[in-house]
Formats: sequence, structure tokens, C-alpha cells
Amino acid sequence: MRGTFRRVVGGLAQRLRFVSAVAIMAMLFLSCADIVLRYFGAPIHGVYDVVSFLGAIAASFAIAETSLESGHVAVSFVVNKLPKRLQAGVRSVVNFLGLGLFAAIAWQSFVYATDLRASGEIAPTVQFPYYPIVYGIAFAAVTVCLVLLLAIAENLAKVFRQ
Amino acid sequence: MSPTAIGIIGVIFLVVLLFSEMPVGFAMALAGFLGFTYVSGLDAGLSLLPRDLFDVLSSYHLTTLPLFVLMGQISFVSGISRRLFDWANVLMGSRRGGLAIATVAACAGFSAISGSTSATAATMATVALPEMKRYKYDMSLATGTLAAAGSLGILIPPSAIFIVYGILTEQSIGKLFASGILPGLLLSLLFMLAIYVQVVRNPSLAPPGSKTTLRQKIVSFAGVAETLAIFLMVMGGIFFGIFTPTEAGAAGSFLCLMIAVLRKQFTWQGLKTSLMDTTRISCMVLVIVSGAVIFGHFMAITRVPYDLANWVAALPVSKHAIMGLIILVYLLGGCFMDALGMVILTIPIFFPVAQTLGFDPIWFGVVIVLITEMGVITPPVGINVFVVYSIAEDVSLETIFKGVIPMLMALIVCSLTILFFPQIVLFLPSLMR
Repeated sequence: MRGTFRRVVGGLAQRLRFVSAVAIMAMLFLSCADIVLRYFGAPIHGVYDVVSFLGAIAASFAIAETSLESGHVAVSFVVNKLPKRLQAGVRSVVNFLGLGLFAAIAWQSFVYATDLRASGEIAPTVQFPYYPIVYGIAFAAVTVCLVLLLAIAENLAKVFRQ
Repeated sequence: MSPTAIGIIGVIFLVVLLFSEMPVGFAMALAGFLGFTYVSGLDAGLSLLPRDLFDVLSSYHLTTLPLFVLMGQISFVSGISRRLFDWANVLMGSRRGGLAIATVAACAGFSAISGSTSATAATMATVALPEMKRYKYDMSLATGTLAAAGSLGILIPPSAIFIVYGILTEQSIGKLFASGILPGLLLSLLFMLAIYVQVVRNPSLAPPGSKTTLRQKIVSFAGVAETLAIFLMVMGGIFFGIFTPTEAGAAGSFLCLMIAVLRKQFTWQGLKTSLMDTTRISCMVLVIVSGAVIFGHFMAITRVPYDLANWVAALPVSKHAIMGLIILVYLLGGCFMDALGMVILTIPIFFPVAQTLGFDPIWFGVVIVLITEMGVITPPVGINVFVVYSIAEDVSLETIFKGVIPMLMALIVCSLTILFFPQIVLFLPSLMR
């Protein structure tokens, strides 16, 4: 059961990171194309806004996979000194708090995106709406919640192991 | 309860979360969110989260970071480091200690296209360490040199810390990049001097390498010309206002990619590895920055940083003594936390203090980077030492830390020099438009 959940969450996080990598390549080529075209007097209209949107996708879509790989900066030396079972207990609590945070981020990003959609707010230069990006961040936060749920389950299993 | 008391409780709660192994970015966001909610109400707290996150993640200035990280990662897999080291080695390797001095020069060169200390240390260690082993260099000198010289990655532009510092404190990233050049060169020279002094005192530490001809010296320059061209284009573009820093990162990445293709060192696997590492590193940094912005908003409404700044400014001690204390906090904090995390964590608190005391914000940025460089080579979480340790098999951690001590002296001398001669930092930025 937990193995299947891990595979599903891992697969989702990996796919999101792939989108993140594609967004970075798009930022690279778009910026370079703009530099060259600007030289010939034909800059790409609204490139800064598009690059900013791509940046938001690149960063938010990589959070889940980075969490899964324990790639975020954390202070481990105190917890590492505790007995193994207590370590797992502390990690369960911390991941539970993280889950609460990302659930709030997902929920509020969804609300914010819906508000932006209703108000019709768009980036002035490219006439592109903001809300799809915020929905994207909400979706990325949901995936982080799944990663944290998995971490909670794995740590609780260690706590209650006979 | 007064806002200041709430702010102090918030800081204590944050420290508890940090020591419980919560990722730094998550901990700052959670403490900031809860504190802000307590002071301003649930609705205000909840609406702060998505707005701050969207503002940070979609900030055009922050797109500089992934593109410069990508530039460093591509150069990491495209053999640029090998050619840099070969050039420096041909030029200096025949003298006693020459290989170690060449390593410092190559690290300084690689730092001009990479903004990370660990990437610089890792890439140069794989190239330079086998050579130093072959010539029977003392491993303490060799590994200590690599760990310390790798730290030049964040001082010589481009630099991940300058980008993040610039965004958090609303300073020009271009000016910060320019400010790192002269201290970076000074520190490189001091590292070389530290090696020279050790070798003069004990010549057996670093035997001379093989002699090279003038022709070899001239030919090897081709290997460094590409790095020089990328650096001049990227920094020149920013310096003269032709590019934004983001565009400079994109152009630099593209050039590194082209060099890899032309030198037949491009592989799809290499590009994939570079991109995956870039997403991971950029995400790691941007999550901390997002957390810092949320926590910063909480701190701002409690007014703790301003109260602290005013209190510190009113103390009957010189501002240099206070700066010394701030440096001490960074040094101690750096013993327990990753350097970049430490910097982002403390900027919302220390930056207002430094400003109130009248220190130049660009200069303060360079001081922070120098202290961070000390943090990456001092125990127990000296990341560069661990990077070199993982590459240098059969060398103990103690050996590397021992080798780092003379280089640490060089770092301290460099920090003191810019403390008393801030012009070294501020001269190049003052020339910018």
C-alpha cells in the first residue's frame, strides 16, 4: 500500500520537475532570442513577464521532488543525536506541521487564483492572465502535501515498529 | 502582549522549528504565517501566504538565479574546469607549491562562471587532486586549498548569495556582482600567499612539477580564453547596462552550451544532469527566500528589527564593535547551518541594524559573503570540506580541516582589509551607471 503510494507520489513529483526543467530551458532561449532580436530592433513583446511566469513554474514545480530527495536546507545535528524512534517521532510532527502549511498554501492559492480569474487581472504587456500560474502553484503545493503525507506515514511506521 | 514580545516569541518558535529539522524555508514560512496571523487576524494571515509566494516566485529579478545556476552546472559538465586548470598548471605548476597556486587561479577562473562554492570545489577537486597526488603534495595542503579556493565561487561574480541578498535588500544585483570582483582577486592572492608561506617554511609539502616550454604556455591560453570571453560578455553586459542580470545568465548559459557542443563535450545526459541539478538548487534557494519574505513581513509588523536596530545604534560602543558582534553571530550560526540558509534567515534582522549604523548595503553584502566563505570551510558543517572529502578518497576530515586553517587566516586578513578599506568593495560599483 505504502509502496504504491510512494510510486505514485514519486512519479508525480518527477513529472513536475520535468516541467520545471523545461520552463528553465524556455527562459534561457526566450531571453537569448530577445537579446538578439532587440539588437535588430524587434524585441519580443512582454518577454520579462513571460520569463517571470516561467520562473514561478520552474521554482514551484520542483518543490515536491526536492522535498522527496531531502534536498531542502535543514539543521539536522540535534535530531540526529536522538534515539532512532524519537527521531522518527520528531520528523512525523515536523512533517505534520509542514503538511498544515502547504495545505494552507494550496487552499489559499486556489482561492487567490479564483479571485484573479473573476477580476480578469492580466499582465499588461502580454495580456496573459495571472490566474493559471497561481493555479499551478496551488497544484504544486498539493503535490508537496502528498510528499509530506508519505513522509509522515514512513516516520510513524518507524515509531510504532515492534 | 506587545508586538515586540510577539516578535521575540516568533523568533524563539522559529529556532525550535529549525532545530527540529524542519527545512529552513518551511520553518520561516510557518513561523511567519502563524505570527502574522496572531497579530493581524486569520484572514490577513491566510491571504499573505499565496500573495507573498506568487510575488517571490514570479519576480523577474529572481529568475536570475536559475539561469546563473544553469550556467555553472553546464560549465561543470563541459570540461571548462579541466582546461582552466591545465592553463594555470602550465603557467605555475613547475615551481614548488605551483600546483596548489594553480588550483587557486583555476578556482578563481571557474568562479567567474559559477556562483556556487560547492560546485567550484567539486569540479576543481576532480581535476586538480589527482595531479597533486601524482606530484606527492601533502594532502592537507592540497585538500585545504581546494576546499578554501572553492569558496571563491560566491565572491567572484556571478554569485548565488549576491542574487538573493540583492533581492531581499532591494540592492542592484549588477552592483553587487561588480563589488565582488576586487575582493575576489585580493582573496585569491591571499590564498596564494598562504600556500607560498607554508611551502617556504616546509618545502617538502609541495614538490615542484614538470617544466613547461613557452610554446606550451601560449597554447594552453586557448583553454582560458573561452572563460574570459564568457566572463567579459556576461559581466560587461551587466556593467554597461546592455543586459539585465537574468539575460546575462541566459546568454552565459547559452555560450557554455555552445562551447560544450563545439568542443564535442556536449551530451544529452550532461544537459539533463545540469538541468535537474539546477531545478533542485534553485528550488532549494527560492523556497528559503519565500519563507524569508513571509517571515520578514511578520517581523516588520512587530517592528522587532527596527527596535533592535535603534537599540543597537544607541549602545555606547563603536559601530565597528557592533559589526564585529554581527560577524561573530554569523560565524557561530554558520557552525550549525548551511551558509546560504543562515544569510537569508538573518538578513531581515541584521540588515536594518547595518543600515541604521550607516554601513553601505553593498559593502555589507560583501562582508556577509566573506563570512559565509568562512562558514563553508569551518567545522562542523563546512560543506566544501565535505565535498572535497567525498572526492578525495583516503584523506581524513581532520587532514582537510588542518589544511584549511592557513586559508582561514587569509580569509580573516581579507575581511579585515575590506573592513578598514571599504573602497576595495565600492570602487567598481561606483563606476556603474
